[in-house]
Amino acid sequence: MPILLIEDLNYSYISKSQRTDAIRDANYVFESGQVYVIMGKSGSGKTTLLSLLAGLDKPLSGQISLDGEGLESMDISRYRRDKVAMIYQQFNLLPLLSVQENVMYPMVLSGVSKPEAQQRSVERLRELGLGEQFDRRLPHTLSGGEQQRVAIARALCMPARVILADEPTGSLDSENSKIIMGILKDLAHEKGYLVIIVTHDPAVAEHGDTCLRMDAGRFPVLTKTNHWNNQINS
Amino acid sequence: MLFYTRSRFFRAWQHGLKVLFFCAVALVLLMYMQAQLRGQVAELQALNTSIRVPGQVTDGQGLRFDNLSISEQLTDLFWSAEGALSSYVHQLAIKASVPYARLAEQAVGLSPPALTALTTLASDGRLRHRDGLAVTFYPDYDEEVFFSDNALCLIHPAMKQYLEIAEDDTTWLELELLMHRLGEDKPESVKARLQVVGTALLEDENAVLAPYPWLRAFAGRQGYTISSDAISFVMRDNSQIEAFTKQFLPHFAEPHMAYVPSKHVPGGLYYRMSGIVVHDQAYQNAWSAIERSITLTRLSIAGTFAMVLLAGVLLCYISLRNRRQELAVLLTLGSSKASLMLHTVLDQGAWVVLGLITGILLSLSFQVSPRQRLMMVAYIALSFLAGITLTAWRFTRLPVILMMKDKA
Ligand SMILES: Nc1ncnc2c1ncn2[C@@H]1O[C@H](COP(=O)(O)OP(=O)(O)O)[C@@H](O)[C@H]1O
Ligand SMILES: [Mg+2]
Repeated sequence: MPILLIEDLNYSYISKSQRTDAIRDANYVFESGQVYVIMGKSGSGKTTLLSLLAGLDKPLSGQISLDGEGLESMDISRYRRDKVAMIYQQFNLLPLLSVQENVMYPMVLSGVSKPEAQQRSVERLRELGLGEQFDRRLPHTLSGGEQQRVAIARALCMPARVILADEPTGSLDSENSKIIMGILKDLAHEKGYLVIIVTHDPAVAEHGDTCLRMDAGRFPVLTKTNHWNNQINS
Repeated sequence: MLFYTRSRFFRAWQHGLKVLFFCAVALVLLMYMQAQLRGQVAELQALNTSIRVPGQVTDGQGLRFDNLSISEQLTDLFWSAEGALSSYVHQLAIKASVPYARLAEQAVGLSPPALTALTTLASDGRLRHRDGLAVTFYPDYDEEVFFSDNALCLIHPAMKQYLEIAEDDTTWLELELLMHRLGEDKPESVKARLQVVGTALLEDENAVLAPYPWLRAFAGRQGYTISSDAISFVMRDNSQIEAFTKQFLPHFAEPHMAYVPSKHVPGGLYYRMSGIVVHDQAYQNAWSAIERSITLTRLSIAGTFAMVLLAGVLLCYISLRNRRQELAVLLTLGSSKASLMLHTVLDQGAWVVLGLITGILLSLSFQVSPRQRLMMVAYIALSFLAGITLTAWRFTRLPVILMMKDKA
């Protein structure tokens, strides 16, 4: 069961003209089987935090570790492929691959045989309510909710047990939002996934077991409504 | 990753077509220009063998006209570097001017043509007089002809008093030379024995020419500079035109040396360049016209080469920039940077290959040598490969977090 730990995490965007401290001294422990919701103003660093957790860049300082193993000592491509799955507001499906191929892609990448990848992708797609008629279609012909479910199916085919979702419902109507949130919640509560969701939407935030706030790079920030576990901060 | 590359090849072929089209057009263009160049060079070569330089030929009884064609070996030497000159030194003749003219005028009573030492008789100078063989330079001025195995001597009978046949059969002429001492304006008069192998009429000034190695050594020993000039002559042949042609042709042109003021010796001179000058206006006009167009074609080929490189890099760059987010997604899904590089190379490379094949097919009818064909294909392939690799490397160096944030 994964535990994702961040310690004294700092990250800055540094360009020639300026430097933006996007994350300042973030500390937290995320536990599996839980849905964490992160809220905060636009520009407070939420996407940056998720990206670091997904291994898309090295932190400036501090550490991220998964199940006690530091990210910096892992093969970063394998970490991205096998340990975490990212879900985006824009879905980020590969536009040239069919629905089924999109789901198969990370499996093929990690050496799963084609027939097996095909079978697993079909299973996941069906579980998420996407029938056979979707398999051969290209992503842009699908609705937002359907695309997001394909993205989730893609995540679920891999051994990763950490799902990082950046505004996963940001482009969806409330009906579809509910479906997606339901799926994510089930994954945490029934299959033991660690789910971290960034959102603006208070309705989405309701689904979280833990609601965290981010403000100007500081994470987590105490508010009167939150009930975060301050195991490592106290 | 191959799985993705393959899918992209079939589903994003519209993008690939651009690359294909570009490569094909570039190749056809280059092939076309190369064929053009080949044609021009061939034309030049044809000119060398086909053009006739007018020469007046006589057998002693009257004037006859004939045309001599320019041998290729002469034109090969055009503007060769000075260093290359030394290998032709034995063929050179050098003008030393005036004194011989004075001497000849005394002896003959007529304004003489230049006395020219045409070649290497230094070691092999057995001149034999050919009976009945004479060259008429202008009315009332004939010279007798002597042949050796590899050169000839033309001399007015009245000048023979100055000639002496040495023990080794070398022919010498005793006379005074005017020579310039390095750094001084006024020529000095110097007594010298010149090896003589022939004469020819210079265009406007009387001159004496001696074998270059000999004259250079002579002048060098005494600190003189020697100046040389091109010679031209109207040849009046006799019945043995074949033999004459054979003897004359190797000497038909001579090195031309251009001088510029020396930086090191005030008022002094030094060689700058040398080459062969053939004095024939028609030939020169034709030659320089083709030369010009060859230069032009060469320039356009070089320009096209540069443009292909630039456009190749640009095309790759634009294509990759437009795909930045897509590539970032591949990375977040766990593709390694190396495999991403491979993907981009294969992705574009496949279309480059198709484009080159198309280009080869389209330009099959052009007259280009297989070697040049191969070189141009390789050039385009390599510039694209370089472009792809460079831009792919540049892109994959960006942190994924930044690539993801770019909205293409
Ligand atoms: N590529 C970038 N270059 C420079 N600054 C950036 C870049 N991306 C984000 N930032 C800055 O970092 C901060 C955090 O951004 P982000 O994590 O996207 O916030 P959020 O997702 O909470 O809206 C913001 O101030 C933003 O302006
Ligand atoms: Mg954001």
